[in-house]
Formats: sequence, C-alpha cells, structure tokens
Amino acid sequence: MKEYNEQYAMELIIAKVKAGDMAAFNVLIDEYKAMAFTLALKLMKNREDAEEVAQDAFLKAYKNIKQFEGNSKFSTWLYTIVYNTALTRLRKKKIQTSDISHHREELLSSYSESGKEWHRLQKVERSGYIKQALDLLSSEDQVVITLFYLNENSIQEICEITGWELSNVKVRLHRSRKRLLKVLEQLLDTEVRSLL
Amino acid sequence: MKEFNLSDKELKALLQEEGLEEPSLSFNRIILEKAQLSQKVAAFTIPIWGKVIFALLVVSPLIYLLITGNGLNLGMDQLNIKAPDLSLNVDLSSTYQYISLLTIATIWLAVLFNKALNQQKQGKVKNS
Repeated sequence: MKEYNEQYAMELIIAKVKAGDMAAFNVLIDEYKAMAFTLALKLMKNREDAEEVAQDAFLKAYKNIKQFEGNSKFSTWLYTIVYNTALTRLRKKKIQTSDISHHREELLSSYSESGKEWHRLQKVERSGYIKQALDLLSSEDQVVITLFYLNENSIQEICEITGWELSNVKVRLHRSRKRLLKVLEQLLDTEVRSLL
Repeated sequence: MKEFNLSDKELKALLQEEGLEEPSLSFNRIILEKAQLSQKVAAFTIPIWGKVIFALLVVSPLIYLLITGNGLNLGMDQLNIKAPDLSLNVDLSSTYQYISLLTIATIWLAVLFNKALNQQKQGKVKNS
C-alpha cells in the first residue's frame, strides 16, 4: 500500500513537472540527486565532474520529460540518462579507466586471517573498508554493485540503465562481487599483518 | 584454502550503511536556473517589428522578383495583369547593393537578438 502511494505521488509530481512546475521539479531533484550523483561519481572518479554530469542529466530529463511515458520506473529512466551522460563526458575527456582489480587479483593471497578479523571490526570500520575496497574496483564493477546492492535495482533495470545484455549483467555482477570480496580480503589481510 | 566470504544480505547491508554520496548544496539551484533559462530561450519570440523588417527586406522583394522576374513564367502575361510598378526606393541599382543591404540587416538583427538574450540572462542573475 505504501509503495502504491509513493508511486502515485511520484506520478503526480512527474505530471506537474511535465506542465512546467519548477517546485515539483525541485522535489524530483531532491528525491534522486544522491543516487544520480553517486552513480556519476562511480564513473567520473571526481566530484566536480560527477556533479556536472548529474546536473546535465537532470536538465536533459527535464527537457525530455514529455517523452517519459511511465513504461519503466522514473529512476531507471533518469539513471540511464546519467549513465549515458557520464560515458559521453568520459569519451570527450578520453579518460582511460584501468581495471585495478585485475592487477589486484594477482597480488591476493589465497588464505588469510581476514575472515576472523572482519567479524572483530566495528560497524564504522567495516563501512570504511567497504568504501576503500569499492574505490579500488573498476568503474563498471562499481556501477553494477552500486545499482544492484545499494539502489536495489533489478538485473533487468540494470540492463536498461547500462544497455548491457542480460547475461552480461549477470556475469559482471557475479565477478564484481567476487572482486570486491577479494579486495576487501586483501585490505583486511594487510591490516592484520600490520598489527602483528 | 579458505575464502573470505560475505552473503548477499550482508553485503547489501554494508553498502547501504555506507550510504549515498551527496552533491554540493548549490546542486538544485544550478539545475533549476539552467532549466528556467532553457525555458526562456525556448519561449523567445521574435518581436513584431522584427518580423515586419524581415518581410520588407526579404520576403517582399522575393515575391516581387518571383512575379516580375524574367526567369520564372507564371503565365501572368496571358492573364493580362499588369505587373505592379513597385520600388523599394532605397536607390538599389544592382544585385550587389541589394545583397550588401541584406547582409547588414542580418548582422543588425543578430546583434539585436544577442542583446535580447543577454538582457534575459542579466535579469535572471538579478532575480537569483
């Protein structure tokens, strides 16, 4: 029931934005800016660029809001714009994002005390390690993990946002998760060794 | 060989605890300003005097040339309609002069258009 009400409220807001209501557009920005910015940041690796990308995406969404027919969720539509805007900006800047995780994998040890160490860590510390580990992954890994785990997008929605094939998303998600855990393991392992 | 592992549920909880990144405080304002500006630009209408000048300088002579020109036969002579004796009365003795006048008029209109856009922009800054 709550979900239905939220959806109905969002439909009303979108209808108002389509009619040119700036206050409604402001509400829409407030609702999605954090996720749009986070997604842009995962790709751009720079707060200024990410902010510009997210702002451009919102502006594009506003200009083309009449094309949004409600066949998919508004968030999915918006994040598709964010993703494509970021990719276009990256192409323009010719930034070559290297997949650090591949290099990292070679360095990882097969066994460590990281599992035990993980459970000893406080919540705040764990969160810090997750952030560090996530930052060490490639942009694509970060995007798929952010969308799936953080924003709880379905595999199908991730396909819509990124334009990847369904099988590709599944494989990428599986590998990204594995890489994240390995990087996390290595970070914890280093921590344990430094204490010894 | 023991692998470090976390369940999907644990991973989701951890990432959600980490939360989302927040943009700067001016994020909304910048978007709203740009959106308003884009609306104004889209709604920009050419003033009536601009249209009159355009009609006088471009459309009327073109229509005149089409009707009276040598290259185009509309069969008007068969209808026995006398071509109107029109003159712009700006002492245009050649095509070169006429094109020059058109160029100047175009530049002039472009400058006026630019001025109007600048005034809109300044108005927006003052309001904000």
